[in-house]
Amino acid sequence: MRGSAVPLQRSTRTLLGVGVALLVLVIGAAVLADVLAAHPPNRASGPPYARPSSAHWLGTDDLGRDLFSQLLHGARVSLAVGLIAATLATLLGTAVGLVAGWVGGWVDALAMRLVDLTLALPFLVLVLVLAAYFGRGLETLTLLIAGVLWARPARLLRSQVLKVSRFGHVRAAQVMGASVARILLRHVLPRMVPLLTSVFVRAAAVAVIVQAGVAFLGLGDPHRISWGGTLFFANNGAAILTDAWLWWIIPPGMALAVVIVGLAFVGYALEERAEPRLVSHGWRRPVRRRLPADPAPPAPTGTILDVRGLTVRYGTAIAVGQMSIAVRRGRVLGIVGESGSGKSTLVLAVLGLLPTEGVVAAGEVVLGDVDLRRIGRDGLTALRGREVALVPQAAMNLLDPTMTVHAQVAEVARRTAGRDGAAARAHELLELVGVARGRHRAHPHELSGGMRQRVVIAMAVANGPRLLIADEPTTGLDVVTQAEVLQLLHRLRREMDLELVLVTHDLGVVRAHADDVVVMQDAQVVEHGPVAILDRPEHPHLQELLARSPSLDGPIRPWSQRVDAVVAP
Amino acid sequence: MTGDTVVQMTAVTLTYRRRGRDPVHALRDVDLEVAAGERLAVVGRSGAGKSTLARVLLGMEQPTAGTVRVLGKDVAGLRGRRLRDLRQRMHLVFQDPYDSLHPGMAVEQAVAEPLAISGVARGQRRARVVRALEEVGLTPAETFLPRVPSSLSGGQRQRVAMARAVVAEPELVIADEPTSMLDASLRTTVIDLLLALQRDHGTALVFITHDLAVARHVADRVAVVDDGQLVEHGPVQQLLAAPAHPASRLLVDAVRALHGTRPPADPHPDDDGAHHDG
Repeated sequence: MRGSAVPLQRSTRTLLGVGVALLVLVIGAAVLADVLAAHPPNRASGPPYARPSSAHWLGTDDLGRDLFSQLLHGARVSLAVGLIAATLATLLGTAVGLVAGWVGGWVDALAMRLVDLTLALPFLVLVLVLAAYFGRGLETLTLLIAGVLWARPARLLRSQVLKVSRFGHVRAAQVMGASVARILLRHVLPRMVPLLTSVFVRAAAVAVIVQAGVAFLGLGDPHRISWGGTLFFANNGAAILTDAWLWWIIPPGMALAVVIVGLAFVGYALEERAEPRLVSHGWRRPVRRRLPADPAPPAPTGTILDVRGLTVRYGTAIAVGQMSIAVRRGRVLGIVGESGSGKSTLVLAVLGLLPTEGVVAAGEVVLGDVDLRRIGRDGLTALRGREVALVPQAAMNLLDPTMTVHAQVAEVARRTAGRDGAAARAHELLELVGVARGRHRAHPHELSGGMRQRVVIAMAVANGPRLLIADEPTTGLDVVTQAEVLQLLHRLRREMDLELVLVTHDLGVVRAHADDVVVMQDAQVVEHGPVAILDRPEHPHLQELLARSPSLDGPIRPWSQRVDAVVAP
Repeated sequence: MTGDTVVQMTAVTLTYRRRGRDPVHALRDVDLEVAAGERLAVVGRSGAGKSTLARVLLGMEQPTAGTVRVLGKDVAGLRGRRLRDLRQRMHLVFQDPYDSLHPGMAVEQAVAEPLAISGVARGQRRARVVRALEEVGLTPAETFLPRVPSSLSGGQRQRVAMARAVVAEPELVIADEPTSMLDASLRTTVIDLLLALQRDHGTALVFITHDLAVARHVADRVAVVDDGQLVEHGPVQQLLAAPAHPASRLLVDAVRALHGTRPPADPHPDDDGAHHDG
């Protein structure tokens, strides 16, 4: 919904332009109908069945009425019906959706059953039946169309309200004591505007088609000339049997097409704005990376992973610049930095998991004696999980909600344990990470965050990797659970004989749980060495971070300073 | 100010009962007082009942038993307009500061919102908004008024949220894990701002956290919540030095295990432990 700030793609802008131009054409015809048309649309102004002439540009119908005038005046009817029906339907749908979504309970249940009912009935048939019952006036028909069209916006709005009402700023307004009216009008509705405009345009298109259809079937308002009505008379007047269809059927048919296509194009563009994720970027040529000619020299003895001068770019932005790190046997490496400092990008680059926009511009990554740049995509796939495994950031919130945790671990374990051994191996792994047997059949939502993190760790180590990279393994957990997770990682290190890389923003965790440390800031390494360097940091950024970290023992921070002296991050 | 006590919870119990399931005791028999201008940290593990406690104070949950008096009003009896009036005298600082600002609302409107809600005339809002922005270090304030959150840095958004917290001079600020999702430097900024604002305005502060190291820096007094019960409370230093309840000890030990020392690295034959150039 924040998409309003996102510029439209060029192809979409073209569509929007064409759509607007088509609609302007129709609106012009409607506004200038009296000026442009020399004859009235619904009274005879010439002989019946006249062919096009200078007096009657599109000839006349079976009653001698001017068809060009009918074409122009028909635009008025279509636009009026489309506009009014769409407005009413959108207003009604918005009101129902807002109230149902916000109030909930039986109000919601009742409103949604009504929506289901309306949507379940065949639309055109419903309008026809109602039109037969309520009469043939254009005003009645417009109301009927609106009375059927409101259901879709109501359902869309309700689901959006449910989503938006969980947003922080809505809850914030609530606890600030804002009234319901204020919350809905100031906080909820403004976020619906892009959605509402596209809903409105779609509703208008449907209303125009339905009105034309009803009039074509002869159930339209006999006093008002519309495109559908012209087509009805053309059909009755057997225009199709002579060449009269050229000027009697084609023009109103084209006019309808122009309105519908115009609305569809505009609607498409608005929808893209409302939901930028809908944008399809089309097929993208996979980046073909040439393998480097010479293999990089193997890592020195005792070094498991050697990253040398690695540079990763996203477009022109450098996410990791000239970075060198080494993971040494028996020593936990801590990579510490704030969000955006490039630490996660570094991890993804090592594993060959960069998103498509990310490009390794320079540098070497050597795992033992394997040059990771030279083994290709399949080589990397074979390596992941077996040699290097990742505990991805926030993965504990991304487990499959429909599967038991045991089934998810077993799925991973199949690779080395085989189809038959996977179930037993998964039980072993879960017990190894401290998930009690009784909880193996639980689904993720039944487990605490700490338990889910253990499950993710079990999946990471399922195939016996030599190197485990844990990206923010403690974020979002309480201190007790954080300590337990770190204890677990240390235990796995010993029991499974694996090397550990801890990626975190928490300096305290690195200081206490790593042997070597790399401090990153703005895609650069600013300090590296044994963790002892954290006791005497040279870099001012690091000094400041350390001085400002809350601790149990150090001096209480002198907070009695003025606020404006609080250093900006 | 309404006397000396801002919050008085007496024997508050909140039980969720669902058909076919065991009842969940979110709070049990909690007694808690917060004096005007006091800084209290409520500390406990995830799911201990800390956030429920905040929700009860704000009248978002009704206790099953016991009384909750906030700013002299019995929260349990309040509905609609009266509850909204009471909420206007407090402020809740959220866990995720990014999410708590409307992405389409300019800084001026966002900070003025508590004023608009409590009916301050439109013409008088701007001066107070400017003063609040200056107070949190967003200067010159006029240049920030028309900006939308997406054009601000994380730290600036945080400051906007803080300006909004103080602009209407609340008597009680409740901060629910306001630092747990932040990087180290932002975390400290939030703590510093909250404390400076608390001091300058004499506001009572209830700071909810799972981290005793943070609690130590923000509060005079700490209340430890475990499994819905208030198991221990007292001056921070005293609790840290001699935690009496097992739950308190667990929290203290966890912080020490997290940030404290640990046994040295496993010695390894081909590892001399020296500084290396990666």
